[in-house]
Amino acid sequence: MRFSKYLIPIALTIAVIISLTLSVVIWTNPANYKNRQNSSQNTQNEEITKPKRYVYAPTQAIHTDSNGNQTILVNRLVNSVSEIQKTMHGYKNVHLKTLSTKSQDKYFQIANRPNSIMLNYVSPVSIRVISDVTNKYFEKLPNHQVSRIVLPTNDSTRIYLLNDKNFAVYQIKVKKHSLKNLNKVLNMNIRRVPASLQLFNGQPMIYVKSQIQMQPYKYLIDRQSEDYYVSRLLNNRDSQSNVTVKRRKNLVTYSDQNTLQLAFNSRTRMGTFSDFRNNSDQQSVTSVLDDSYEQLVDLGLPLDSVRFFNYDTNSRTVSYRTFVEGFPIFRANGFGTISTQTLNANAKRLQFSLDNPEVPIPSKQGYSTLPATETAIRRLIAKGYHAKDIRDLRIGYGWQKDKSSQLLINLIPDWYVNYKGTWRSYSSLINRY
Amino acid sequence: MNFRRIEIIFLVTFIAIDIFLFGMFEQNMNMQAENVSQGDSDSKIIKEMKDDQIKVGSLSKKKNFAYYLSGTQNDTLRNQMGQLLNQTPHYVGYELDSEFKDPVKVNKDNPQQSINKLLMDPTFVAFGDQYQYSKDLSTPRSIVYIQKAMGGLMYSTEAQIRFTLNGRYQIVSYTQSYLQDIKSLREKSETISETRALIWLYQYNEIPNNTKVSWAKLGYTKLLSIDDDRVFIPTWIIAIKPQNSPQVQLKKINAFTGGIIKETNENLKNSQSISGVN
Repeated sequence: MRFSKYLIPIALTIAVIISLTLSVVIWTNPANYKNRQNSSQNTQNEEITKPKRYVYAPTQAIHTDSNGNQTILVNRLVNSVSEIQKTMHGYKNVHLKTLSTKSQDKYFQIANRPNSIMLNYVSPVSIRVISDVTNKYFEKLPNHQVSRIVLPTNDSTRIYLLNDKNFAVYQIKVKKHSLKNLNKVLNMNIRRVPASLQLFNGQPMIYVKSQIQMQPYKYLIDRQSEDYYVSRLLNNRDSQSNVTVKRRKNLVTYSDQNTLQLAFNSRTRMGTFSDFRNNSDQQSVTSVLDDSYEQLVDLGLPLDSVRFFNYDTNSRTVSYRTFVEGFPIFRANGFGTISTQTLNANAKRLQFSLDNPEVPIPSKQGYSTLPATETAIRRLIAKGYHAKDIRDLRIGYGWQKDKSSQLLINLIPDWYVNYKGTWRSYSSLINRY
Repeated sequence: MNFRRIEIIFLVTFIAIDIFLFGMFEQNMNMQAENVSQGDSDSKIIKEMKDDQIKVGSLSKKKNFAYYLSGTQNDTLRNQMGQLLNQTPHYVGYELDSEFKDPVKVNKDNPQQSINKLLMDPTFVAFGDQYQYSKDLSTPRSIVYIQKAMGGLMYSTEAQIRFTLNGRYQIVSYTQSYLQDIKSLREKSETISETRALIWLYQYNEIPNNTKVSWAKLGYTKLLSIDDDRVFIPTWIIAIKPQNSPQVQLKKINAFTGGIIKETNENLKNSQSISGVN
């Protein structure tokens, strides 16, 4: 009786204390005020789009041996540039020094340096871009334009950068690092094509010294649907306006009735995305390429084997091509895979192909033989083309539809000539007259 | 007495409040745990999988390198039939079926040890040195060897040897298929990691609840055939076992693109013949 007299008040006190403690704990718990973050899963896209260090990697590697003989390192089982790129780390205490500008002698002295590997771009990039490609070691250096990187294979304290436009030579002094891996790359199963760096029309160009055997390829193509891009480029934005569709002959135009327009040509299987919103109207190579990369990410095209090809400063167009064996693919109209163009402060254009090579397939065709660079130039001139209009000459693969299936293409090796600013195949130029 | 009644009413009310608050407290703790685990998205999805009662072992995040491969299906095996001893081979549809005249005795616990030695002998099996034992595809009565290719293995019925054992640990017969001239079609490129492959498979809704991921292997599987040529792509082959069933299901993820590879007729045949794994 006496016990039960105290039981209820004690139980009540305990209950009150528990409720007070729980209230305090719950109110002071920060988790209460934190909204659960949206776990939207766009990881998939990030994985598909290749990183900057992949897209802006150099596209060609040339080895100069101890006797000064030069060879192009052609991909066979490995991608020679990627293998070299992998060894480009561990650069510490970097210092840049301008050795010379406008001196062709100094330029060729470094470019043809015995015991070195030269990595080439088609058109100049900036040191900031090269820094992105090599683990950001050169981020703080002055942002000069550069079209070639020379890595000595027997000097571990220096790297050289060259610019073809003004024959500038920069030297980067680095802390001593191991060259073992770089030299290992040279012993890999890589095909070598004899070549040399020579002047052509006042610009350095890689000459292939003798005729070269090239393997044609057959590829299964990935045919992407228009809807994919409509949803990525038009619906994905904040604008809530409706997308309208207009059809005219081969052309289907999707538009958000405001500032964005996406057109597809069903005959050429090309997409053109026009963006009339204000843009930052970038001028420097670094920001143009940064901006262009952002557009590639927005586009969401798988960038397998796609590399930066060139930046045309006149039309302000950045173009990207798919590479096979280390050689770029050219379509009939000279187009590659993607191009981004800034027209002015409120117009940008992005062009891309809906069909892209995906899986290589064994080709029954035999090797084709391409003439040496000298021979090709001589024949072009003999056909009546003006030497001064030839701006560049490089080996590439031509895109040709396969007769047996819509899903197959043939890639035909050929010389590609930049004639008066457009890329044409050597055989089409020769067979013209 | 009146005061006592009020006390009881208060007590009941407070106990009710306590229960309610305790419930809230629990919920809060969960929320906190979720916020903490929000670090990187991969581990979050792995946690989600665990919440769905999917058992996963330790996963590698390492990216590998692999090729597109091609091989040719032809009558090479038939030409090798002459040199085989102690067996009666039959060649049907690119496959060599052979029965041993005297069954070959193998090690009771590790039959592959005996077979590995025998494979070096070209009169026992043609091109034996080009095959490797597969523990995952073998059963006590059927020992499977798969063809090696450029540092990988070909998971295909077109590049396989299956030895059939009797109850006395003797090989009675075998079936062999062989692809000739395996070569790379393009330079090697990076593949996705095991973790990524599993996450994508999960996100494609291909891993049912209450299952266990028994193994994942990077190998080559057939993508397409053109005439006699076969094109192979690197593939993450993931074996999924429901909790209450001994059967495993094989799922395939393209190791270059991360896309799922649906079973075609050819592949279906493949998975049936190797589905008896315990």
